[in-house]
Amino acid sequence: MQDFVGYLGKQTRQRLNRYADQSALFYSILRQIVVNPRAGRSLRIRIIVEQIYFTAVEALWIVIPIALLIGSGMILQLAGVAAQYDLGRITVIMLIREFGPLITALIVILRSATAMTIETGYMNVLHEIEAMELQGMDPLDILSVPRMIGITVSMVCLITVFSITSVLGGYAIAWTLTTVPLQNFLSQIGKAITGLDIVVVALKAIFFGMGITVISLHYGMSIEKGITDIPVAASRGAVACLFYCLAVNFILFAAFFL
Amino acid sequence: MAIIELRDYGHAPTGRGKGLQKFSFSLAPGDAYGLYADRIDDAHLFLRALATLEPPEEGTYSFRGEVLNFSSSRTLLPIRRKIGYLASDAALIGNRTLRTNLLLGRYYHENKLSLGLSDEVLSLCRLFGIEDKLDMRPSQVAPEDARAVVIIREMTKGAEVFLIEQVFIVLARPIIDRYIEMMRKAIDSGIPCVFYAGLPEVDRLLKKREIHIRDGIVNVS
Repeated sequence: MQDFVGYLGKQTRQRLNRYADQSALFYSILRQIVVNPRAGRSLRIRIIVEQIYFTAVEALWIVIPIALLIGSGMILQLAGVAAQYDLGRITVIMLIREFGPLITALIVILRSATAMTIETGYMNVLHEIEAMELQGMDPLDILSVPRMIGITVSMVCLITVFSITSVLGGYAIAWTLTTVPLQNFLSQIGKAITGLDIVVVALKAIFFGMGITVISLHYGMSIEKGITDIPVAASRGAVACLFYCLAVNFILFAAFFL
Repeated sequence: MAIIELRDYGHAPTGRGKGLQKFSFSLAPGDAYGLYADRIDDAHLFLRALATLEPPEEGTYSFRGEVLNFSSSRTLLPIRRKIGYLASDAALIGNRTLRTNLLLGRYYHENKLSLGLSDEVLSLCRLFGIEDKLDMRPSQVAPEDARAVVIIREMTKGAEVFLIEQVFIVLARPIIDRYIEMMRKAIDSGIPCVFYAGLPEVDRLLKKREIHIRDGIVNVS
C-alpha cells in the first residue's frame, strides 16, 4: 500500500513538474515573440516560412482527400435525418465546429508534432543546440519561436481548408453520386454558421497550434540519456498532444456553448 | 588581467569521471595549457566548465572580471560566442548545408540572409579541401570534412579563447599540420588556449604550461 501511494505521489509530482516546465517554455516563447529581437529576425522569418511549407502546404494532399471523404460521408448520412433536424446546423456543428479542427489537429500531430519531437531530440542528444549556443544564438529564437508561429498559422489555414473542402466538396460528391435530396443545402449552411462558430474554430486552431508546438518541443528537449529515448519521447509527445487537443476542444465547447 | 577565472569551482562527476574537486584557475592572454587527465570524462568536464556549458555546483566563474550568472542561459550567450570550443562531440546543424552551418552565426547576428562566405572562411575551406562540398549536408560528407567545418566555424567566429579537445583524431596528417600551424599563430597573437590533444607532438609544439587532473584533483604547473 505504501509502495502504491509512493508511486502515485511520484507520478503526480513528475506530471506537475512537466506541466510547470511546459508552461515556462510557453511563457518564454510568447515573451520572445512579443520582444521580437532584431538579432536573427530574418532567419526566424525564413524558418517560419519553411515550417508553414512543411506543416501546411505539404499536408494539403492529405487534408483535402480526408476532408472530402468525411464531408461527403457525413452529409449523406445527415441528409437521411434532415427531415427531422436542420441539416445546415448539424453540418456546421459536426463538420466545421467539431470534426474539422480535431481531425486537422490529428493530422498535424501525426505529421509535424512527432517530426518536431524527433528533430529536437536529435539536436539535443547530438549537441546541435549547444553548437547554436556557442555561436551566440538563442535556441528559443531559432527552434521554438518559428515553430510556434509556423504551426499555429498552418493550423488556422488547414482547418479553414478542411472546413471548406468538407462542406463544399462533400456536397459536390454527394450531389454527383447519389439521389439524396440536398435542396438548399448551401443556403442552410450559410444561415446556420454564426460569428461565434468562427470565433470558436479560430480559437481552437490557435490553442491547438500553440499547445502542440510546446508539448512536442518540450518532449524533444527533455531527452537527456540518448538516441534510444527519442522514439519513446515522440510517442508520448503525440499522445500528450492528442489529449491536450481533446481537453481544449471540450473546454472551449463548455465555455461557449454550455 | 585574466580572461577566464574560476574561483573555488567544484563539480560533481559526469559519466565515468571523478568530477572536479574545488579548485581555482585563471586563463590570461598568451597562455597555452596542455591538459592531462587520468579520466577522459574529467578532461571533458573541465573544458565544458571553461566553455560555460557546465554551471558550477560551487564557486564562481568570471569572464573578463565579471562574475557570470548561470541561472539564465540566455545571459551566457554573448560569452559563449567569445569561446571557441572544439569539443570531441561538437556538432553541425544536421538539416543545413555545410555552407549554411558556416554562415548561420552571421545570418543571426547580422540579421541578413544574403551573406556569402568571407575570404578567410573560403581560404580555410580550400586549405581543408572542402570547398566543393559546401552545399552538402553533414550526413553526406566524411566525418573528417564535418570536423573541418567545425574547426573553421570555431576558428573564424572571433573567439577570445580556444578550448580544444581531441580534434586531431579524425583529421588527416596534412590537415593536422596546417591546424597546428593555425593554432600556433593564434597563441602567438595572444589568444589563450587549453588543449586536450592526445598527440605528443601537439603538446610539444603548442603547450607552455600544464594542467593535470588526477582523481578529480586539478593541479596547474
